[in-house]
Amino acid sequence: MTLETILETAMGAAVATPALAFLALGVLWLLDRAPGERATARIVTSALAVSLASSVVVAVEFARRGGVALPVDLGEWFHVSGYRFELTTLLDGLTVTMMLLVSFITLLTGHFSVRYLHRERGFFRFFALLSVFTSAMMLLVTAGSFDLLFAGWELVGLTSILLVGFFHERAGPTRAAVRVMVTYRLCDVGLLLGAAMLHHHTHTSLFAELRTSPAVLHLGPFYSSLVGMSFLLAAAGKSALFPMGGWLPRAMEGPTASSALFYASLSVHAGVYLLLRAEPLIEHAPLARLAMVGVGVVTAVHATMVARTQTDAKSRLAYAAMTQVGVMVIEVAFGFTRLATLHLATHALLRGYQMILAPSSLHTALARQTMYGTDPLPGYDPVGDRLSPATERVWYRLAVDRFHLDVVFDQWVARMFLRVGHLLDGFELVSVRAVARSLGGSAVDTTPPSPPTPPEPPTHAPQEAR
Amino acid sequence: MIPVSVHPSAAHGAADSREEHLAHCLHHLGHLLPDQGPIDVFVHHNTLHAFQHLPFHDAVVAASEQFGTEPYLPESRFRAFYAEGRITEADLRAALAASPRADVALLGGLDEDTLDLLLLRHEITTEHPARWRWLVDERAALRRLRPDVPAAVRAGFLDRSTRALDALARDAADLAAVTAKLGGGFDPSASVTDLASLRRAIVREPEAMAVGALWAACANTAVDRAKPPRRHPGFYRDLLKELTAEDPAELAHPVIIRYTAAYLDMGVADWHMPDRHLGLFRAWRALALAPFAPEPPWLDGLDAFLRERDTPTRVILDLLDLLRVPRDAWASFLTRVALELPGWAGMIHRLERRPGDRAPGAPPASLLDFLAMRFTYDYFAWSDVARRRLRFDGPLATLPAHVDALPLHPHDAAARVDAPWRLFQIAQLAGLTALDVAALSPEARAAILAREDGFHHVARRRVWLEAYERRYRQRVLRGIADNLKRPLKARTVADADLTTQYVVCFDDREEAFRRHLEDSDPGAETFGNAGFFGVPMDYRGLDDTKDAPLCPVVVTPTNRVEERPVDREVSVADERRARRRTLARALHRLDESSRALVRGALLTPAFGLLTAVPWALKTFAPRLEATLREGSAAAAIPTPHTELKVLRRDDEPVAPGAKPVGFTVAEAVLRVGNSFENIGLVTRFAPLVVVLGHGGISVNNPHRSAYDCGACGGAHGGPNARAIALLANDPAVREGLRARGVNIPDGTWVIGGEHNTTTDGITFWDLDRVPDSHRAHLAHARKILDAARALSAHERCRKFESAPRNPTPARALRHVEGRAADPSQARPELGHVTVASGIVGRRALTRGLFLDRRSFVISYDPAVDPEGRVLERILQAAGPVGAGINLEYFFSCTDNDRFGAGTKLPHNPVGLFGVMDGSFSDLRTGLPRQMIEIHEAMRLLLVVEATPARLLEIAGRQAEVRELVVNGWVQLVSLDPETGAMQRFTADGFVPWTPDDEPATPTTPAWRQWYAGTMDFVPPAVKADAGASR
Repeated sequence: MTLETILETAMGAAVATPALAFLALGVLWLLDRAPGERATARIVTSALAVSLASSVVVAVEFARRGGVALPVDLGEWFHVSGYRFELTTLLDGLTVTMMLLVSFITLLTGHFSVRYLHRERGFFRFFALLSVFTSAMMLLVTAGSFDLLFAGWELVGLTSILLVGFFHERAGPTRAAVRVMVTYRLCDVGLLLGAAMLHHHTHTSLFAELRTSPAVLHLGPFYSSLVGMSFLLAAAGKSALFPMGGWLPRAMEGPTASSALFYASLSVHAGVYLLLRAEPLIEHAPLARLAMVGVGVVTAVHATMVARTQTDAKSRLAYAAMTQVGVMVIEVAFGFTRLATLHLATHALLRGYQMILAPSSLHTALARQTMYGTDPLPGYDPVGDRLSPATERVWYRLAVDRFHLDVVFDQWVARMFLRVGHLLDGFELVSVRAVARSLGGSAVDTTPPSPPTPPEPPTHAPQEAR
Repeated sequence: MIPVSVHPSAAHGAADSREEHLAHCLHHLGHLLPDQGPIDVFVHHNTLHAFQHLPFHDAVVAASEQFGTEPYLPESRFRAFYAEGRITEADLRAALAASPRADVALLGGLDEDTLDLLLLRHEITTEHPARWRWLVDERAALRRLRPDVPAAVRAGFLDRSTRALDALARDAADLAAVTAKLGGGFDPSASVTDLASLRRAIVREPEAMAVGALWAACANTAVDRAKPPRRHPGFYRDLLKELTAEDPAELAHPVIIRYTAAYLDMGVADWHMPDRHLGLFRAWRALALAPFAPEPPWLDGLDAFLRERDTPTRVILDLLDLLRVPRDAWASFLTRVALELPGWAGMIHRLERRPGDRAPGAPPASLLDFLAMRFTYDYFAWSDVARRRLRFDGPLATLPAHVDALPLHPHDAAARVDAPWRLFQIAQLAGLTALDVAALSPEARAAILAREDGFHHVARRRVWLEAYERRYRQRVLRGIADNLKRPLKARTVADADLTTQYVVCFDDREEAFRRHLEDSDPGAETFGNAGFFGVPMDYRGLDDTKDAPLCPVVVTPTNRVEERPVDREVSVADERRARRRTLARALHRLDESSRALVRGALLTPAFGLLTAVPWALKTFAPRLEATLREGSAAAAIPTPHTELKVLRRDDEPVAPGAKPVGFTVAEAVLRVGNSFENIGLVTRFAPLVVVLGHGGISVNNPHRSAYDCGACGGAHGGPNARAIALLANDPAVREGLRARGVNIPDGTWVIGGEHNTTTDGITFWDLDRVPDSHRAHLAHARKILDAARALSAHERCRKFESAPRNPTPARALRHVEGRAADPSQARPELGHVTVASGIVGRRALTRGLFLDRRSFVISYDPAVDPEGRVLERILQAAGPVGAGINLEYFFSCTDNDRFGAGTKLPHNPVGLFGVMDGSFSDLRTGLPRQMIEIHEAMRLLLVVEATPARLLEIAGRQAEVRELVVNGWVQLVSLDPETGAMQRFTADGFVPWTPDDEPATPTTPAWRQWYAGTMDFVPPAVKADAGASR
């Protein structure tokens, strides 16, 4: 068996095994034989373990191969009037790093969740979504083109939304999930637009060709920037960059394990990963790089200010994650891809660990205060110490209100789209009525025939008393 | 535009009394708020303390009306218990007899008891017309009997009905006559056209005919109750939510919670709210009026509003005037506003009343400030929703009148299918046929329906609860009675055999531990004392920075005790302090840096990869990780030998304003003497007396303190055990005790330790002080303790679903140690779950009785207590503590969403004092769901070995005990010390108890056999004595 075959099989196993676990769970559930907690946990954690083992194999064999990138053509997806959409995966250093990271963290979180979600009503649902997420994330990081990446991207978004709304018997988590969904969908337009533009202008969206294809090299700064900024929009949604970041603290409504997995470790870095993949293109796009630096700086600065005012453990970690993601975007904008990758992987591990232990923060902090003694623990606030009280008040207000990003988003973005939607609804009603009138002449009765009337429920006094 | 100025004339005139009245309202509503303080010290208390002056059943109903909580468990749960045999029919009958009954006599058809039992066992519903049609069409409700009609009743019904209908058809003239006889609505089916086809139909489809005929008979029943017209809710938030489906709280709560949390924060945020020292209102107002800070559209006009009003009283009074709330409705209105976020309001109120719960110098808490802020945001939110959704621009006060004119939704306005349908259901369940019902007069029908109406669901659940408690009570009292029939020799230890005496906390978790101790060593005696062992003290451990009171919350210590390093190791202690300080600072810096911008960007790539190691260890090998961590900490930070200075000379100076350190000999004699007298340990002492406090440990658990000792104020009780051991070994104290009648012989040594209820680990202190003569005794005791703790762990493991099936005791012990160290374990130990009884008396009453860790077992010897003062001391301390624990679990179990903290999974620690769900929510109070999942909600059954007269005397002097017993929060049973006869306290005073006519308490040779194989309820059992006759 050649090295390439081993690599391809291992990669396929790493991506597909959790999906197979999901299929198994799904089929059993549809047959009304949903397995109990122990069986579900065993199925999913073994799939995650296989995924990790395969990723390790990939890493080892990739190193043996000398670290040379390996694009794998899986064939044609579909073609439209002579244009082929390919399915390719790409195995390079970034892929290997991400595969190891994703499979390691999901295995740890999955194992943690087995006990953490014990006897919880949504146990089965959680583990089903976890398997889908793992496969989707693996697909996202092994994809060789923006098209396949988009598939993984969407699935990751779907599982995120469903896990934010995990406790769907309460209104808060459901509303938070809707907010996340609206942000994701809006920003995914960027990914679609960018991929479409790439196809249109360069006839390829393969990562491997971003450095080599002459069409790409001759794209010119304007179109490169356009594509780059579309991808930046997509990344802004997933990675909670300014101004799309209002959803991140509200997404902490799910169980601690899922908050750790998604919003501390993996899903929140997907945007950075996208930008890393688009980096060869953005190299030639000064406008996009400028925008990225701007967005990164504003994200990092505003997030660090807000993080300092947060009084609950999970929001504080969410904003800390946002801060570092902003820094990562700046790193990619300047072309420091290796640094950005390292930063991403280490940050995912650190923040996921901190988030999993968020419930400990109360007693840990109190213990530390006691260990330090009777004085309060020393703070470090070089900027704040220099502000006048009046200035401090203004900035504090802004920071504790999180710069009203979610309000701005609601008012100017979400409501606008909702209004457009309402308009379209109204238009649809008018046009349907017009069509119906033109077809049927008189008013068409669209009510279904009523069933045979059963005996009337006696709600009034009988006519004759006995 | 929101009007911001109030008509001046309203403000003058009665201004003083308005402010006073407002203060009075606030004082009143404060009582209704949850009384839980910062959760690092969790104290169990009666969740409905505000209603404790009412009888129990009235209190839960009052609370239900005030808070919207459930008064009892849902009927479905009780019916499930009935199906399992946890409640029997005898219990239901007894409970019915004892509860207030609907005062409606039945005039025929069936008798009152049958109807009441039927209503308890089965659900009688009224239906919305749409659903009724669905039931008729899809479930053939008018042609089939209900599935829950008992088989015997069903058979009898069909039999009698078929014969009666057939006879009717045979004797009638024509079909119309049959129909008329049945009340006029009988509509058999299309195929029935004459009497012959009717008779064939009766044979072919007996059930359809019988049930159809029954319906015809019932349908001719007058509607018995006029429903009051449905009105819109009165409070603005509910009204707007109903009318617009948008909840104004969604606008207001995030910002209220953010500001309150930022104000109260005890050390989470790095950037504190400016001007906190001025109070919440002034700090908030300063922020709200800060320039250049934009407001969301719904807060348009807030700065103008606040600019004119600079005190919270002014704000609240003006808002009340704007909303035109009449003065006598202020209290209920403000209560309603405050109860929108009961957790936060309760925390503010608690911190206002007890500033000692926080660090000195913390910003002042004021419920008035909070309410002013809250009310302002609510007002703006309501106005905004009304304006946007209802296009209502007028003054908000006119909104209720405006909407009263709006019609109700047709769905809500439809009248429900009521009286005939209810009668129909009752008749089916009682087995009444169509002709039986047709024979009932309208008065008789009305009587049945009125009685059903009167026995509404709250009354029914009350009866169920009483029945549920009765079953358990019968079992436990029977168990005690049967245990008393065993020979005294089997329940006590002879003088010659006495090896060791163990004094532990009376905690229900220790009940199993004591049984296993007694089994492992037949010469061992165990005693249950309050966990602070009668030595209340402000304790400061070696590593603590402030004193913590180790005693029940109702007791205030008068002495301080510090843990100090021994003289030769003072430098070690200093080194320890310095290293801990350095470590704390380093960890804090690391933590803070990991969240910062520049330091984080530098730190994360450099060291972030290392995080993989502790994360993987904590996930896959938590015990190993804990061992490594503790081992490295022990290696890096030296631990000196310590001592407690518990005794002081009478003339030692006391710092002014501070409490004296240690006890004088006289004080020590008093406390130790009382403590030993309480448990009846006065003359007979073993060579070794082991005193064990207790505490629990867990990781990743904000509610960690809920597993600790309630009698020690929610802390670990080890220091109390250590203190009393030191005091009891002191010669001067012993001399004083001898004068008091507590004769500790010279050959007795007392040693103090702590039992960890999570890991079942045991640690001892001051081992170096143990004299050589007692080392063998100590070694023997430690062997026994090792055996007992493994057996105790084994017994606990039966209730853990994730524990191995049928483990060995050693394996079980390893499992529980793993649970304590595992960050993913949401149920590290069982806590007080299933606690249901308390027994105050000699151990001889309960030695050899299996109570499944559900009972507080408090030692008390009536022989040393001729006047009842000892018992009074015990009940004064143990009563409220035990009742508090039981009632906290009771209410958190009954309604976990409102009284309890919900599931732990989304819990988010906030401000270092509480938890919220997710990114913002009310502060969750009470116990999380994981802690009460297997709890059985019943009131504490207190069995006291004293005569009724003695108990009444004590109740006369102790107000809180009296309140708990007389109002029915605790069930009280008196056990006569001489005769063993038991009497139960009821509304009619003490009533003799007799066992039900059922088999005696089962015997078992070994506890393991008795509880093996099931995770569920295990009834009491008595130890089978080898060869002894019963």
